[in-house]
Amino acid sequence: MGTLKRDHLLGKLDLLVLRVLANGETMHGYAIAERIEQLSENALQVGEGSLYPALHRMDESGWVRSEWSASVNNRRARYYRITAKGRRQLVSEEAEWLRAADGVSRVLRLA
Amino acid sequence: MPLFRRIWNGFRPARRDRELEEELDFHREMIRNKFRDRGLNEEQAELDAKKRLGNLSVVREDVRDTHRVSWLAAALQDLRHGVVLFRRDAGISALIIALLAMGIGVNTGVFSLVNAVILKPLDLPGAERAVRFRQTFEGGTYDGGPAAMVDLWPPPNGTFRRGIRRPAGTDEPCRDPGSGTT
Repeated sequence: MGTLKRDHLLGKLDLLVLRVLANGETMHGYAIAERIEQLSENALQVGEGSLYPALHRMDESGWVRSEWSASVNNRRARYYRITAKGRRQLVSEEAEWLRAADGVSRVLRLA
Repeated sequence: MPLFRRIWNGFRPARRDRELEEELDFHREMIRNKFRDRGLNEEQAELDAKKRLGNLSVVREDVRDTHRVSWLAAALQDLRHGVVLFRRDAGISALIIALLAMGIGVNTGVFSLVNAVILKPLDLPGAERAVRFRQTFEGGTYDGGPAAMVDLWPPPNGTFRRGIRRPAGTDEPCRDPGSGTT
């Protein structure tokens, strides 16, 4: 399977990040990007150029919280976790995405 | 991000930049380690990590932009927008200002009244020690009390003595002739 350019995340990076964090784990940016790539079987590649601005924007919006702590290799890393507000945002963005995807697939099937 | 932290961070752009730098450094190192684990030599891993991360100054600038569009910038923009609207609809703006002025005037007037009647202490010497006697009985209440009760004020133990009877046959408030208290 080919890798989509990051632009092909269709502006859904927030949704993917919130979904990955929704399991309740705290994760650093690299781990979030890796998890998205693994789960999509490398179809989605998260560019750092969009990941960090997105994480900081979500932090400003109160969807995630971040704190510094020691990583496995004993380096300081910034860990993110989802907030209650973030969970509400996830529910609404997920519903919106599913509705859009359903619409596209209907057109493809019926046109 | 809580408002307090956002304001606090707004005053420390240098620290925020340092933290972002550290965050990106960490990311770069993790990618380098991954490539090394896949069998690339140090130099090749470094090269591939750089290629993968792309132009870091663009990332830095994008993150800074995120913070720049903070509450202060948004407030300034609102202010500018307000001035433009004010100029465009001067008539409506004047009407709104007149209504606001009227609202403030009415409020001030009502407060002055409440202040004079309820809030301001009585214009008497020792007004803070004045008490009002009020009696309640089956069928109604009236202001005032018998002189005997007034004489007991203030009670020595800080509470009112209960069970004082009004003199039989009187239905007018008793007046204490000495002080004129009702």
